Amino acid sequence: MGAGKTTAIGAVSEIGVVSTDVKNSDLAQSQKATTTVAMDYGQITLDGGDQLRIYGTPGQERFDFMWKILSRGALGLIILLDNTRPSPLLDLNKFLDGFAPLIAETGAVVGVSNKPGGPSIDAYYEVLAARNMMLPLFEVDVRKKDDVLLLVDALLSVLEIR
Amino acid sequence: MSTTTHRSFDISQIGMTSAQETVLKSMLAMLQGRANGDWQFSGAADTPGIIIVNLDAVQANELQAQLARYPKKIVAAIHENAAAAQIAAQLPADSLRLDAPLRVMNLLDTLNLAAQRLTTGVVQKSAPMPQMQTAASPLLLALHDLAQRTEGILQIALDQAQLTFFIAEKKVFFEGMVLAQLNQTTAVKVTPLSISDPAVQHAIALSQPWDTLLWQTGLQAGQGALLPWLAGDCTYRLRRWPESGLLSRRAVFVRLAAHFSKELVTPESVAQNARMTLRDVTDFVNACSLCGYLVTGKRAVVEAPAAAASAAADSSKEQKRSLFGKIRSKLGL
Repeated sequence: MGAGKTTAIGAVSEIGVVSTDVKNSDLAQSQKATTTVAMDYGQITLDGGDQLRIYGTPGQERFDFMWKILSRGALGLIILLDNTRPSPLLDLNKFLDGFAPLIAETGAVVGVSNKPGGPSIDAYYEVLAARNMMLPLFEVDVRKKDDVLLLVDALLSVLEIR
Repeated sequence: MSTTTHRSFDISQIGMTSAQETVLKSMLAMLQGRANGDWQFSGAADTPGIIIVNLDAVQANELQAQLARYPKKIVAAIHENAAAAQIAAQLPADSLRLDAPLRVMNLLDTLNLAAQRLTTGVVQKSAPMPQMQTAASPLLLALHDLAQRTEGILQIALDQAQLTFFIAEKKVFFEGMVLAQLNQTTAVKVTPLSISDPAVQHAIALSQPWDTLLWQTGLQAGQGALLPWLAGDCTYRLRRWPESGLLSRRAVFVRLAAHFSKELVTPESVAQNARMTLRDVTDFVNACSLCGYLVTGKRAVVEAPAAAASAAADSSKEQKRSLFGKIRSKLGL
């Protein structure tokens, strides 16, 4: 929660983000006023009419049924982490476990919010290394379109060489 | 998981401090079941594994004799003092390098690489050093050694200029035009300074991230050739992706990073597969090497051409390439 899913999708979607944000009733997890339940949705129409659909799903485990649904047929995965949450390294481990089949099949990129106070980027890489994984991992500010595009670019580059 | 999972390997050491040994053992416990192979720190001389050499503590003239006692082991070198790097020239060309202080990520990479080599029997002894492809300036070599440090205050003096570095937690502060001095061929003198030195106070005012300096140095220093401690026929892999702020030429560097993060590959093979110029690839490899992002693997062997991919696989790849091309085009990537 609070990693910036809705903002990130909005940075690249050609339509306004279709959001399921509601008033945040879990202030212990995050102080933000609203939060996503179920999913966010954005889309990009490609040349030839194909549509690239972008889904954002909440990180709380009570929504993990959505993880499986959205993983079906997905091209790839971008994991956004809020560096200021109590245990962002555990969050990363949780998502790597929760999306393991999709990551093994396609690939993933990790974006870590660049707010001060959390673990270093090296610490996140240590988590990946302990699982014998090597994923692109960047410190990002999802309010900046260029940072979001970097995540997409890295994901496409990883997918291209699989 | 590779077939090396159930093989047992031994770790021995020459010159490691008791503190380094303690840290190593705790990391090995942490990596149990995660690293390829079953790694034990037993010190046995005649079993397959790695021999960790602390270059800070060995005498250069005794190194070869000491290593000869461990014929079945791959050498992994570690050092904290810049001066010890000179001794590394006496190590076999395929020696591995461990970070100092030890880091679990680097150790895991090293163990997995060693397990792969030990399983496939690719242990080279006394192989020649990689051929130097460019003449390294003394300043470049000094920067390469400084890049291994995480803290310290040092002054590098050249004939015409003095460059003062203050390194703390991988942030560097420096005074002087570093990149302009890269090709100076005169000897450099490295002097430790104290925090109270006026030159240090002045340098602190001009702070710059260490990785930015190293990255820019790496991009410029080779001028199309690999840096002297790298070899074109060796394989390389990224241990981590370059920081986002360094990927100024994103269209090139992101694709290269993807190629180098998948497996150990030679720069030439990446140039071919990524359809990039060798110049772009060598510049990228040089920058990653200076920043410490690169793992060096074994020398490449000439392999028989791979069997032709099936038409179905080719078609699927082409479809994916077309789709990703459309996405890139739409997003302006």
